[in-house]
Amino acid sequence: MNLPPIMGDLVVLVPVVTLVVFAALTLLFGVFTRERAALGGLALTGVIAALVFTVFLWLQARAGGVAVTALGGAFRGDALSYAFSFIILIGAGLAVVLADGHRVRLQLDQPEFHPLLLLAAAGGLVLVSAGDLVTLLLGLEIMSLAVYVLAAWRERSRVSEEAGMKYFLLGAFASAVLVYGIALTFGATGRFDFAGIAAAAAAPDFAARGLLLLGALFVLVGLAFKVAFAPFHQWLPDVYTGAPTPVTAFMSVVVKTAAFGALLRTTGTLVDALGVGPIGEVLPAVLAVSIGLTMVVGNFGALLQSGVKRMLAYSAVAHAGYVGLAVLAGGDAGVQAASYYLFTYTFASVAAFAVLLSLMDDDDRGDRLERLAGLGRRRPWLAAALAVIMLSLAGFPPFAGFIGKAVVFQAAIAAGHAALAVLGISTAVVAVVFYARVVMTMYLREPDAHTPVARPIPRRTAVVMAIGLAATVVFGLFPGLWLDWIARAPWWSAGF
Amino acid sequence: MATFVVLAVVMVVGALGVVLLKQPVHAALSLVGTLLTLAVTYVTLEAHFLAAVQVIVYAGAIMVLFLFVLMLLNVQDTGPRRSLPGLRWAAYAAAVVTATAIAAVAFWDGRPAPDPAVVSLHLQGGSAGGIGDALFGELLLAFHLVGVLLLTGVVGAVALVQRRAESAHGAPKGTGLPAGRDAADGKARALASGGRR
Repeated sequence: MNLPPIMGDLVVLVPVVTLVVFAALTLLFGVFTRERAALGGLALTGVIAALVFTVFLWLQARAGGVAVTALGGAFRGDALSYAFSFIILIGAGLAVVLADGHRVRLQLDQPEFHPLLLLAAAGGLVLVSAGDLVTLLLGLEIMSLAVYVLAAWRERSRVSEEAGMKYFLLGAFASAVLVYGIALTFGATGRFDFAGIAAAAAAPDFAARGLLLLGALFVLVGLAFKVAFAPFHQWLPDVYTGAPTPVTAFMSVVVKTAAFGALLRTTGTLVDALGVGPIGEVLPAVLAVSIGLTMVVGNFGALLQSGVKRMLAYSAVAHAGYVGLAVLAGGDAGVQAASYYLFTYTFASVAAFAVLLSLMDDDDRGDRLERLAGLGRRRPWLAAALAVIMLSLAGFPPFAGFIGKAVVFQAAIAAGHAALAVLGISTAVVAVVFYARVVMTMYLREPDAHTPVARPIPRRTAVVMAIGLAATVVFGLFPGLWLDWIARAPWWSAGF
Repeated sequence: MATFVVLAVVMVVGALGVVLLKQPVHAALSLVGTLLTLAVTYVTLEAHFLAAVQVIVYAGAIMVLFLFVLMLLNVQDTGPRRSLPGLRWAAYAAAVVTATAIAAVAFWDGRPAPDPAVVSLHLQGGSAGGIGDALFGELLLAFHLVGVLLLTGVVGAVALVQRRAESAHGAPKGTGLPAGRDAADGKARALASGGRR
């Protein structure tokens, strides 16, 4: 196949273009048909098509058949972007199926719902594949703008409106900080692209190291908001609780994975660019403090919650802290550990929200822990599924959550952050308490007259739960399936 | 240099006005001042096309939009807000410290300005050509992504407004909403149907 050079370049963009095209198709279908049930199927087709293209390009890139960069380096098709795009698309696909099963009950069948979901996923792909800071910002904004609206989706619900508004205002502020950081970075180096920033900072006559540090700190704050590092996590519990549960599942996997992809690339570049010496030590130190705080706040916050959805929200903060350890470790090992953690977290998180959906009221409310009482006897399969997922999230062997924590702590210790890894291990012990509380309520507590009975599970939700469970067990028993696969790939994340 | 200092002072005063003035309309007018001064700064840098766009798009279209929204929403000061004691002063202090730190680093650590001759060559006398080259060359992907971003924004805005209007037409499900809420719904519906009443 002899493509002209520019076309050969553009092949890397195909997954993103697929998602945008399917978003437009879903939008048009929504206008011309009243058949709302078809929209979910169409959206899922788009996600699967993008997934197939991503895998194809990934294999091609490993064989050296596709260019690593497109459009002069603005868009990158390297191992980091393919691995994270893969995770994002799987998370998006599961969330689409999950939303479809509860479409009518949760009023998710307005024609704009699926296009926004697809556009958010497209923004996520751009975010993890961005080769320069302008593309990164635009990817972040496309994703965020769609998710702001999705968070406020529940009709006549003050909580949902509050969630959307809160997320929007704080998110806009974080974006402004990010833009300012990008401007300062440009002021220091004169370049937007990661390779150019690294090259400019490596030049012997580079004098603007302080300005670059300031820019890097602002960029870090902007991205830390999206991944919910403390103290920028405060929006998360309210937004996760207020958003419709399928959207919460989507946010906890797609938005988080995409933001971490961008964070890995940005901190990797900027820490290297700042070099060694007193100025170079500031950024890792700030990151380390923030990550330590995140692990503590997330786990102790979850401990205090009486609602399961809110508990999962705080635990999402805690998991962000653990992935943060991999970010801090940096390098290929850090990127690979983070990708494994996020890959397995995607399955566990979506499955947890899927179980939760069948326990909550028709209007997506009511997530108190007492509702789970006696579930072990009333619905043994549902209870077993939730128990496995909780144990995996808590980090029990032989489930995937255990291996995820192990590789992350390993990467952190290897990079010389032993103290932070110890803090991570001790907070993980705290986490066991609140995850075990869910399991114990299901099996040990007797239901009283007020305990509602869980509704029958739609078949599509059962499929999501089955996939989530299977992946949690399989990738826990055979972590090499993912780890060996990505370790064999040539990594272009560092040292362009 | 003297021109720049004068313009910069006006710009910063305008920006402070946006934050500090109590009346929303005054703040918006203060923003016009900042945007226009920025346009003049572009002129002093020989970026004439950019200056014109700045005036037309920002000081023109976007400001009109701002003022429209302010008048439609009829924003009023709702009296003192509840907040943690001392939060206001802590916020002021944090802002001043951050701004000073940024200014200090920027002055102390600035990159030397490039040769004016090179800059003029790039700007091509401030015509649209240079901007076109950048937009459809180096920033081609970003240019297209902005299109996707605008699409997302439009779809999102329609989704939020449309939904309100639909639910207002249909049978009211959740009652017990305050009366003001219904009035807001009516306004949203009027907007959604293009102002027809």
